[in-house]
Amino acid sequence: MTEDRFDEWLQRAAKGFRPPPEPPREEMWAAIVAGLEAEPDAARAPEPRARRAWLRPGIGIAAVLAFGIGIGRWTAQPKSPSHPPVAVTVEATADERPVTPLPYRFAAA
Amino acid sequence: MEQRLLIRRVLAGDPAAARAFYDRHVERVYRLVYRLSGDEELARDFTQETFIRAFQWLGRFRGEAALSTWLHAIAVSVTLNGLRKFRRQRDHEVELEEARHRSAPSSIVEPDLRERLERAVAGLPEIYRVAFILHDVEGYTHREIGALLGVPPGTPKARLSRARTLLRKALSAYAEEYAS
Repeated sequence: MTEDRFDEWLQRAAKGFRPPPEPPREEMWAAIVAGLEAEPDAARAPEPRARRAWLRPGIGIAAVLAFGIGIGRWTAQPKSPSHPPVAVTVEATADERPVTPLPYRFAAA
Repeated sequence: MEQRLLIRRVLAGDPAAARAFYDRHVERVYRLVYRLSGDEELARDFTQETFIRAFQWLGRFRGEAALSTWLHAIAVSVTLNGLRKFRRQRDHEVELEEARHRSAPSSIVEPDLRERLERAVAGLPEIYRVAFILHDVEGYTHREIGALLGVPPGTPKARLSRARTLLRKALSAYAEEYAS
């Protein structure tokens, strides 16, 4: 079946997709009235779109901060050494086991 | 009654106007919500929630869009949020149920067109499913869908195209058989 023929077939089939039943008008209306009475303060709550709108600048600021931190970390990295790195090994006897973690001992040396 | 006058009367606390507002829009909202959710009970809950929100926020309606677009945008938002919550809960329950009946024999009957389409649409990712239902089933234009979802009009068009491609893959064998 070609793309166009399928789209035609799909559009015909879509017409019968989930035929809605008769809405229970009175039952829903009673629940709406009860809901409005139960939530009088909710009228002050922001609409979803309005909520999204004030979130947008925050997202922008977060993105700029993340970008700045990335740049900062990248520029703070030490330049690559002109000579190849040398592996350092430490041999310790059972009695000479380091008390402090190895990286700190290297830093202090 | 003219729409602006009706809104003014609703905001002034006139119960008859509120009921008239509800009567004017309930059928379309319920149909939209039912088509998105596919479940009578959920459609009822989401329709109620839509109207509760609409009455609470009606004072902020500035008339920048058509009232129906504003109301349907609330309906779509309420429905999609509600469905996400419902599915998380249901998936957990289904997992528990499946674990209980893992060895039970399956008795799947060959589904007809409606069931196949229902399954294929239900299997689409949400953004494509919504684009397909709003455009091909409910008949909204791409511009209207963009306004409902808060996205540019090109976005629903691209999503619909992707939805149709995915549905073609899922249904092509059956569509050929059905068309012949």
